[in-house]
Amino acid sequence: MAKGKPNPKGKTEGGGIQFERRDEVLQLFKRSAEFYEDLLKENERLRFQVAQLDQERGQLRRGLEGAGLLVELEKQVQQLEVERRSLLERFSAVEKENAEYATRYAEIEEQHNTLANLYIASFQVHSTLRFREVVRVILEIAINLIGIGRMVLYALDAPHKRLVPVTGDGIREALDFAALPTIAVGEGVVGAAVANNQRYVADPPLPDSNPLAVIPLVVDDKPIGALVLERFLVQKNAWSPVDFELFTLIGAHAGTALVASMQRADRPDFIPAIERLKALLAEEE
Amino acid sequence: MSQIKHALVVEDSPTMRQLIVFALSRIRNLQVTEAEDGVDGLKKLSQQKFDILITDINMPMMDGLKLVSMVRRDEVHKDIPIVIITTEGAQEDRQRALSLGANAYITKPIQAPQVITKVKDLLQVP
Repeated sequence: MAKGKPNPKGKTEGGGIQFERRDEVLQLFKRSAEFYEDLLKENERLRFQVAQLDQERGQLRRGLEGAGLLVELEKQVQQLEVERRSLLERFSAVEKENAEYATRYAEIEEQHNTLANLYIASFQVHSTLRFREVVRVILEIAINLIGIGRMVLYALDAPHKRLVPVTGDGIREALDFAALPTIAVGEGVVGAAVANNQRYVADPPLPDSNPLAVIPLVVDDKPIGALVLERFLVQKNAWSPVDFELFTLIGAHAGTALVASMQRADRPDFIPAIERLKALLAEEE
Repeated sequence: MSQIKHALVVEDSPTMRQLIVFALSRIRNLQVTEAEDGVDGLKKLSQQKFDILITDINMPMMDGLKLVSMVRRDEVHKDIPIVIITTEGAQEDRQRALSLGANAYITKPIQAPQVITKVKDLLQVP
């Protein structure tokens, strides 16, 4: 190549070319630097995104874990609700049982009270063969166990078919039995009760009910008199179940006790001999 | 072991007395002594210390109200709980008995649980 010949790439073959290359290299470095900067920015952006995703993933995981706990808690709540309902049902059943026991207890108490009254009334009626004592016991039963404030005991005058007042009791008032009229069997409430051998009870008793009750006194199904209950004690205004049981007892036992005591009064020194007892037993057989 | 308590029942009617004693027999550790009227009641009270007195009002010899007023003046028994069981159901009778020193007033006919509850309350026993 000839010296000084123009170079297609520049007039100055020596320093010009060097300058161009230098610029090219600088440009290259500049682009590289820009590229690198871009890479760094991209890297930073991606790292930021990764961090964000990590954070979101953490939140999501915690959310999922929270949701699991919630589900577990809901399950427990449901179980507890089932247990609660079961306990409420059991509680309700126990309450019902308690109420039934309380009712039963009250019934047993009432039965116990009735039996005690009947036992004592029966015991007392048959505790003596003295006529006045038997009469006193009959009146006492009516006053103390039934709550009667005024009553009259009638004896049957069988030949004349009349009921004759023999005794009675009235709280705070003296009954003049002599002034009381006799009653024909079949006449009025008292006479009819004796004629039919069927007790009369004003039930429910009204303030003007008189008599309140008529209890025929019978021996072997035959009337020998009647206990006529005329007035309650001031604190009583209605019958109780035990009263009806006592009516039955008085009707069945008082007559027998009265007749036995009258027979005993006729023969005060009578003591049955063993031969007589044996004969009576043989008759029974 | 619970302490034995002693009750005195003053009632002239054997029927009623038996019913009250029967009811009181359901109270554990309670020993019951019976008296037929107020005079008999005072005699029994002078012989023994009682924890409760149960008395009727209408009785021969000495009525229940007289007995109550005498017991309240007695040094040994002046603080004894007193239960009246009576046929007298009027309000003035009740007031009179309570003013004389009775602690409870029960009218006849009695219900055993009513008597038992009242006596237990006054004796402070279960």
